[in-house]
Formats: sequence, structure tokens, C-alpha cells
Amino acid sequence: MGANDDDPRKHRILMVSDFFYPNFGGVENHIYYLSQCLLNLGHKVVVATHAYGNRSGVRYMTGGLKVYYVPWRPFVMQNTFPTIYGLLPIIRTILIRERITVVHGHQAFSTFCHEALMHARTMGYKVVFTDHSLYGFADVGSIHMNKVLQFTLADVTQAICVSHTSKENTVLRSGLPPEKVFVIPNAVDTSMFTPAVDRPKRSEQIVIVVISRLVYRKGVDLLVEVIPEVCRIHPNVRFIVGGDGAKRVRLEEMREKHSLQDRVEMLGAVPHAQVRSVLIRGHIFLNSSLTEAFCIAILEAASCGLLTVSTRVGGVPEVLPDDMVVLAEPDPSDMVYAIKKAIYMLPKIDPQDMHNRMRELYDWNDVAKRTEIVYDRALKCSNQKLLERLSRYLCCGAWAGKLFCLVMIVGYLFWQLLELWQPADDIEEVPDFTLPQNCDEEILENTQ
Amino acid sequence: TSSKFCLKVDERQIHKNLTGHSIRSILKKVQSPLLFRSVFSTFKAEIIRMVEFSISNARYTYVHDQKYPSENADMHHIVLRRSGSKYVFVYASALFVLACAIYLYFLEEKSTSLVYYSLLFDIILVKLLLRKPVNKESVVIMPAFGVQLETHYMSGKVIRCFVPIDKILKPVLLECVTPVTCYWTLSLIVRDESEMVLVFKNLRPPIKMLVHVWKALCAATDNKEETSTHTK
Repeated sequence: MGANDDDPRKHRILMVSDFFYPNFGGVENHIYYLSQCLLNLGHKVVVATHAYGNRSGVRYMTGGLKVYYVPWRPFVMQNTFPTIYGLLPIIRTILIRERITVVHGHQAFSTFCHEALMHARTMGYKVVFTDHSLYGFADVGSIHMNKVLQFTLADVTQAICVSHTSKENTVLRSGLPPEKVFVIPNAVDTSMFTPAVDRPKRSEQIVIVVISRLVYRKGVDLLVEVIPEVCRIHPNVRFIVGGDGAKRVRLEEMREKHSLQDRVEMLGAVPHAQVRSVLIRGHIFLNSSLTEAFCIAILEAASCGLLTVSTRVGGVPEVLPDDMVVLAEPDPSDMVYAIKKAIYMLPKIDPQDMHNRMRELYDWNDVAKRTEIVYDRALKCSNQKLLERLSRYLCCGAWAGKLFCLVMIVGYLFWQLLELWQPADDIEEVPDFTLPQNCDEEILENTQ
Repeated sequence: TSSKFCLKVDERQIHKNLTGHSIRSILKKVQSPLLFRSVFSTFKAEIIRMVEFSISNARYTYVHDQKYPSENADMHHIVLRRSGSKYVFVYASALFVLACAIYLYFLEEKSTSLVYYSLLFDIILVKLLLRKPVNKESVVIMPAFGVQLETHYMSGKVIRCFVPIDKILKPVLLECVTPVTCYWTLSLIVRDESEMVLVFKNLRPPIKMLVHVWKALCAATDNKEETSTHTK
């Protein structure tokens, strides 16, 4: 209780997103690891997300990370049903009782995040937004999503993107001034992804590993062309494919058609805890995504000592040094050539050396320190009155601007009504509790 | 104003005639914290004997008293302060609905069924919002036997629920999250039951009041554990 109150440089952060544990994915891991590292730095972190099945209410995770599973049902793709003002009371209650200073939202495709950020801005809190994906500009879904993003980012205090390509994409989609956007790449837990102690011999068979969701975005159609070709050219190459999705059927068909049952092993969905054990069975990691803002999968593979072959899309070229990755255009023949080049490069690869370099390059503690700088910068920004902020919304478009202004005004009125109905003094503040440093050791001693 | 009252009486006389019950009723009537403190300090000796501790806020009053000085029973009460504004609001809106229906009937020639429907709506509204008013909820802790949870209604009805001391594993303070708010509750984890027993079922007192009740419950259950290990 004492440490946080005394030090004004320590922040109290609320992470909001639809995507969190018990779901597994890039965004979820990012929020979890970032929160743990921020807790280690002495800040207070609280996460708010929607309820997952029976998992509803307050839960505590490692290190005293408090998670509010707000009982709003998800309706499509893990997103909460958008009710514009529905989340205002609960978000206000959480912000007041935890004495939050900064609200940090994740992922553009999360309705919970957008609504929570809007309400936080209405109530005058500083808001930071992290965008994890690249989106298009042309199709109907993207146009609407970009408009929503424009609304949220019109008044955001600071924004973070995971790569320079992602920054360009976000700035173009939302019209945000580039000075407000920071680039902080993701990282990988190198202690979990270590190379195998003894690897399968390269002379016998070369194993290429593919682990991804088998959907269109991840370039499964490319794989369907590439795998038979590579198997034809290199008789000593085997494939291991992990993951599940809509396009799995196509891979199975390809296997049948070219009689590659003994050369292509399909594992099905691989739980996150077992990803490492699958990766260390291989020499080369193949990533055929059609779009990727940043690719944590190739970081995990490089940390396990695999040479990566990937499509040159999005932020992928920014992730690994040139001697750890072979890039190709998202075209089957180019990818086959890249795999050939990778096989040729294999003898020069030392997995342990690769792992050590990755440990130097990518670290979640580093990400947390850089994010802390963003929070410091956000808190230094001035507090603006409603009227000044409304002018930013008007620039969003001829019709959209006026609509957004109306939404913000109505939101402001709802907030004032809520302040009368349930004054902020009635909401009690929660006392902080800090876990003792050696709490886990004590538990171990007691059980032994 | 109606909430203030005069203390212009001879103090010795008051001490002779005042009982624990009248002190309690005086404390309940006092709205302002300043006056509460002055009453408390005036009758401190009596109050300390009867009423061990008391906290008050706009909505609830917490009173902790020990019925018998030998500490056989420990009582904690959470009293709901009546607020007239809720009644005024509900009756005013019901009247407004009825008035609209009558206006429509007389001046715009709509059918009488509208008036009947509005009357029905009013009755349902009043029943829903003003039903079962709870006056007080109490916790009586008897260290050797168990804990009795009482709910006192405005109509005089009392509902009691007894939990034997052996069945209580632990009293816990929990945060409950609803789609619109988050509040603290005090619950008992009970042996052989998947559901916890809520101590204050209808009222939502603030955490500073719940903490005292929780500490008393913990002390009672810890004592029980110590005596049971001694007998073993």
C-alpha cells in the first residue's frame, strides 16, 4: 500500500481489451507479459476484460495482477456486444476504486477496448492505445473498422505500434499525427523458448516446422503450393504442420493428392505450452503469412535456434537480423527458392548462438521500460476541456465528425448523470496489497 | 430542523433514565456526523457500556454492541437509513403516468383501457421498487455455538438463519462484479456446500463496516479452531 502512494513516478495502469487469459494469442500474451514486467518495475496494473464462460468477477494472477472479468457476454470473435454507453458505469467504478492514472487499450478489433477508451477520455483520464495488427483500406469491413479507429484515436493521448510498418498503417488509417505514435516491438520469453539439447541430425533429414492458425490470412494457400514442390526437389525434407483452422482441409487434400502422408505430419491444434516441444523437432521454421504487423512466431522459432523462412510482408523484415531469416515474396516459386537457400545455409547455423543473440535483442523488461516512458509522456500532456476536445472529433469527416461529437456530448451528459446518481465519494477505494517478495518460496517451504 | 434535537437536560437525570435501547434509537435518528459525535461524547460512558462501536454514513449505520458483558454473544447490526427521496420519486412518477393517461382519455378521446393499463403499470412499479423494505440486518456471533444471521423488515417480520460454528470454514471479504458495478460482500465459506453463505443478503454496506464484522467472525472461528486442536 505504501510504495505506490509515496512515489508519484509510479503509475496505476488499467489494461483494457477483449483478449486476455484464458484465451491464448499474441495480444493476450503481450498484455500478460507487459503487465508482469510493469509490476516488477513497481507500477500497479489492473486488467479489465469480458467474462469467459464461468470465469467472471475478480481474479488474481501471478505477481498480484488483478483482473476484472466484467460479465458482458461476447458476441462475435470474442468481442463484447457494442452498446456504446453500456460499459460506462462499470468502467467508471473500476477507474475510481483502483485510483487509475493511465488507461491502456489493446487491439483495434476490440469493442471493449474502444468503448472503455472513449469513457476514460470522457472522464478525463489519460489514454494510451496499442495497435497489434495491420488492416486493409478497401473492403467494407475495413472501412468501418477504420472509421471506428479514427474516432477512438482522434483524442488518444499517446499510441504505440509494434513495428514501423504498423505505425505507417495506423497513421494512414486513423489520421493520427505521427508524433503521437511510438514504436515498441513485441518481445519473446526467451527463457521458455530454448534450443533442444540434442537436435535431430541434419544429414539424415531436414525438418521444416509450420505452426500457425490455418486460415487465409496466414497464407495456407501458399503452403499448399509450396510443400509438394519442396518435397519433390529435396527428398530428405520432412514437414511438421501444427495448428488448426478453416483451411486445414486444403492441406489434408494436398497430402492425399501427392501421397505425402509420411513426409507431412499434421499435429492439429498445439497448446501454447507445447509449442516449444514442437519447434525443437525442426531445423527450419516456415511462415507464410499474407499480412503481419509483427510476427512473434518467428521470434519464438529463432529463440529455439531455428532458421526462419518467411514472406516479406508487413513488419516481418524488421523483426530478425538478416543472417537469421530468409525472406521471400508471397509467391510459391520464390518461397521454394528461399527454402532451398535456407537448407544451404543450415550448416552455418548455431542454435545456441542464435538463442543468445535473441536474448540480447528481445526482452519484455525492455518493452516495459519503453512503455513506461510512453506513460510518463502521456501524463505530462495537458488536461483539455470537453469543447476543445470536440474540435478534434469534427475533423474526422463531414458526417462522421458531427456524429462523433454528438456521441461524445451524450456520453458526457450520461457521465454527469451518473455522478449525481452515484457520487464518486460513494465508491470506496480498494486498498493495495503487495505480495511479499519471497511469498512463493514460503509456500514451497511449507509444502515440503 | 427535524434532524436536530435539544440536549438541554440535566445530564445526571439522563444517565439515570437512559437505557441502551433509547441510546440506540437516538443514534439512529441523528443524521449529521457532527451531531452524532456530540451525542456520542455526551453519553460516552453509557454508550461504551452498551454499544461498543458505531460507524455511520449517508445510507447505513453500523452498530456493534455486546448484549452481555461476559461476551457470550456479540452483535453487529447494519441499519438502513430511511431516505424519503426514493418514495417521493416513485410516487411522483406513478402519479405522472396516471395523469398522462387521464389527460389522454379526457382531452384526446382515447379509450378507458389506457387509464386501466396505466393504473396497473403504477401498481407494478410501486410494488417492484418499494417492495420488502429491509430495516436492519444483524449478525449475532455466539463463539461456542455459531452465527445467527437476521433480517428485520419494516413490517416487523424477522427472518433468521443459523450457521453452526463447525460448519464455517472461513469468513471472506469478496469483490462482486456485476455488469454495472462492483461492490464488497462478506461471505462464509461453509463445509460441504458449493455455495457460500452471504452474511448481509439485502444490504450493501461499505467495506469499512464489513471489516469489523469480518474481524469478529475471524476471531470467533479462529478461537473455535484453537479449542478443537487443544482437545485433540
